[in-house]
Amino acid sequence: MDVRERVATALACAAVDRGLSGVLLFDLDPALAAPLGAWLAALLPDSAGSTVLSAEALDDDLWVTVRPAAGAVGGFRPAPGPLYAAGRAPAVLVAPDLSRLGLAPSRAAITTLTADVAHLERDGQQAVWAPADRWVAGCPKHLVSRVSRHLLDRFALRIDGAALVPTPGQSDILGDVPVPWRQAVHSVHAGGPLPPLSAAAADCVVTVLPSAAAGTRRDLSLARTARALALLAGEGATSPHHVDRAASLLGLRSPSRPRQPVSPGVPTPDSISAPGGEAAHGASWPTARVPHQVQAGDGAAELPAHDVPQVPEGPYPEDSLADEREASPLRPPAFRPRDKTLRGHPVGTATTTTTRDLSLTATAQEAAKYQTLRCPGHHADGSHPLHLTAADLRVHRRATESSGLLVLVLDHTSRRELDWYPALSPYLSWAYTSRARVAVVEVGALDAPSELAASVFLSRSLLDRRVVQALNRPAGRATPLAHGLQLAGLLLRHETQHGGAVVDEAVLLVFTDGRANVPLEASRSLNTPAGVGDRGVRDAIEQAERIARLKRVRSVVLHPGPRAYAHLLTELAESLDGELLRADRAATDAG
Amino acid sequence: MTSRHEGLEFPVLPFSRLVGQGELKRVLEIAYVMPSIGGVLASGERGTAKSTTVRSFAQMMYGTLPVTLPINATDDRILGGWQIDALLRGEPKEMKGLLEEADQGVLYVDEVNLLDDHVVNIILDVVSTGLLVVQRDGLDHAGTPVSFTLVGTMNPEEGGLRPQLLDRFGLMVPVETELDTAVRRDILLTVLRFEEERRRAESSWLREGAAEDREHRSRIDAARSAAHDVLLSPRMAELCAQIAIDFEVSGHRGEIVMAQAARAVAALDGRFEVNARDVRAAAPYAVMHRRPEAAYGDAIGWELKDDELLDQIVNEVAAGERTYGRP
Repeated sequence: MDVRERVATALACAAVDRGLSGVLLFDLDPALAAPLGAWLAALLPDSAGSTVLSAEALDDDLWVTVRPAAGAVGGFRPAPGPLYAAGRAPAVLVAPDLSRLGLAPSRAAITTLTADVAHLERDGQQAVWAPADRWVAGCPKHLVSRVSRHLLDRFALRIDGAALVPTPGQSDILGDVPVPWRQAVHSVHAGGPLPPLSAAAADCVVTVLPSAAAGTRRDLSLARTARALALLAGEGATSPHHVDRAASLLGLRSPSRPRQPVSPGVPTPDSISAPGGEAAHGASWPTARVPHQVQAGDGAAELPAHDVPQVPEGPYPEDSLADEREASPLRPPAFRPRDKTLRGHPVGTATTTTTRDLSLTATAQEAAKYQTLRCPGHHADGSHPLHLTAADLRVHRRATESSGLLVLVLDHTSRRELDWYPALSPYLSWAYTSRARVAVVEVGALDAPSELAASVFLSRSLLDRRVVQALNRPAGRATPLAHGLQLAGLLLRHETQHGGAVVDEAVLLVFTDGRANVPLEASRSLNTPAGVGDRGVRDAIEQAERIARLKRVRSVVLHPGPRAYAHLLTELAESLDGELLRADRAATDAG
Repeated sequence: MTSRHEGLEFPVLPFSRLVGQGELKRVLEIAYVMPSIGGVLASGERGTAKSTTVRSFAQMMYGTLPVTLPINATDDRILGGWQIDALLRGEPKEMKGLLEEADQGVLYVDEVNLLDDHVVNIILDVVSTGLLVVQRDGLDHAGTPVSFTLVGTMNPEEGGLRPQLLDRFGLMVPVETELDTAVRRDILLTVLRFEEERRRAESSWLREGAAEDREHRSRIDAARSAAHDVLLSPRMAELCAQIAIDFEVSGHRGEIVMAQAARAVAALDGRFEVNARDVRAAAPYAVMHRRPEAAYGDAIGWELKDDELLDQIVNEVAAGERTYGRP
């Protein structure tokens, strides 16, 4: 089964069962997301079509709003957004890149995908319905760790879409829907029976997935996929045979498939086996073969834009990746009307009592609702202006963005018994009082996914529990300082130079004794190096020199006290073009 | 565009057909039997049927899905406002807010930890005063009494709750993934069968489930009627207080809720006096989210050492070896 058949089969399964309504295609070319959504919409009977969701769509855009409408009484009418599904046939919602999906659509996906019921309670409108819309989403696999796991969990069907490429001149990627599939989908939507899951098939499902798998959703996803495959094949019951096929479709190791060798050093859950593009184990697929219209890729993975540890194979990579997402990504950011900068992008609107930073559209929309109430003859005169009161005023609700950034590189292996809080506290205080964002790069943590690699996360402020957790983490053995500095450098470059960068002042604080013992190549490959020599130190110095070229970055190297390798620290600080401070004196020097 | 419960003849599994989640089911029953407990927070991993269990319970006890506050609800729908479509036609028609709709019933908040801060403030205002004040959008309702049982579900991976809101949930129950293979298998077979059965015009399986729910509801209603006659002896009250002290529970709500929950446990068991086992059964749910570490947003849970400490307190107080206060 090639990638095109695999994707087509997954979409057909989604069409069969609303319990499989989330389809996530790893490494999908974003340009293909919309055509795939349209393909699925065409398979759904009486579908309401497909809609590509804007990554930055707001709640009003997604759910329901009041829009000007010619001929409507009062000139306005409530208009449903793409997520308002009460009273309409199922539609397909397309999110080309889940890692870039904004707050409102992410929260919408959480509350509707796979839910028993969906609720709308907005702007004088109320509705409850059983969600049946399907979602087709793409996500670069190396960015999965930045997506909320809660959100990822909503996507039952996960397929590797990297090799899916359009054939030049062909607009239709997956070709025509096979007639038996269309008949099966129509039958089930008309109320026809689903092939019951046999007890033996249920036994097979719980054998394929390890007990530690998150929740029962994965069990249910596999079972529903098996049932959908049985239906598409025109069979009357769901047997272990279909579970085996479903496991193969999803890239899971079924009981009859051998465990695949994995790269040394890469943690792999029991559930994971073959790459998504591997052929199904001995299965004669229940589907009609779709004619070849695309060229399968050669499977060679494109290197990500920045170095990250190797991404595990299988449908649930988030299980094995360090969590890099922002803390609480699904929570709306705190709104501080007194914030002087107002530099954050609008993420919604809120009531206000001043005219500063008004959202004119939201204000006019709010006023529009009350025109007849405020002026009974209002709509008799077409040129009649809006009656506006202070209660209508709406201000942009903006994501708070600080102009400060503190990047902490914590070399746990250098800390030993030292209490590093006094040395770090001036910098932490600065980060707190200036509401600076805080990035933490951890080097040599005992519980790191790989001792050969550093890890990084960026938080909105110091008040993120992960910062305290990082500061209290015990030390491991290896010191991948070069990798840590590389991660810090990439982050600093992004935050100070890219796009709408708002960082005016960045402080890089490196706490280390300078004794790097993991070459950068070992951090990239996760293979234990033989004969390190001074390669770890050389690589760290090279990364430090790159950081020194960045503007608006002040670097400080803190060291734990007298050591035999003082020259390493001196060289590191000089390479960073920064200061070198002893931890026990830093509290007084830093002020 | 206003519609209710569209196409939801069987929105959720009958309560009696649910597999697993015994703790959450029991705690929901306790909170129903003694409404003054003030609600339930279920916190647990993804895909553990928290929402389904809550909805199924409300369906059984109230005959309808719970009044649900979605995380993106607007203020007018929470507090009360106007019907927008009527308003645009020039007809001012008021629309009750969710807090008023939930009066004398359940207000359910799925993903409660994702609520906007100002919505949390609104809820806290109403829950603490028992009064709904609406003075906005041309409405002026100064103080409608409302009382509801707040039920929330959340996934702690997405952040915690503010301590003030946490404290408003009388009981908290951690929900964990079912690891037992036999239970997972039963869940699978039950959920998929439900999906198949509800497609049938007539399903004896669902009908039997609904009948079992009605019987179960009668038992719980009977316990609710009897709960206020359940006696809490001074020694059992002392035990509640001692547990709260030893677990360093902030404020007094912990021991009050514990005592009420213990009375509900006794009532559900058909007895008219609280014993130490009732207090032991209720205590973890009343104290776990009121301990000091909960205020720091750490993962809230209940461990073996907590069980050991609780057993020790219960045994000592029940045997008369300790009197009220620290040892």
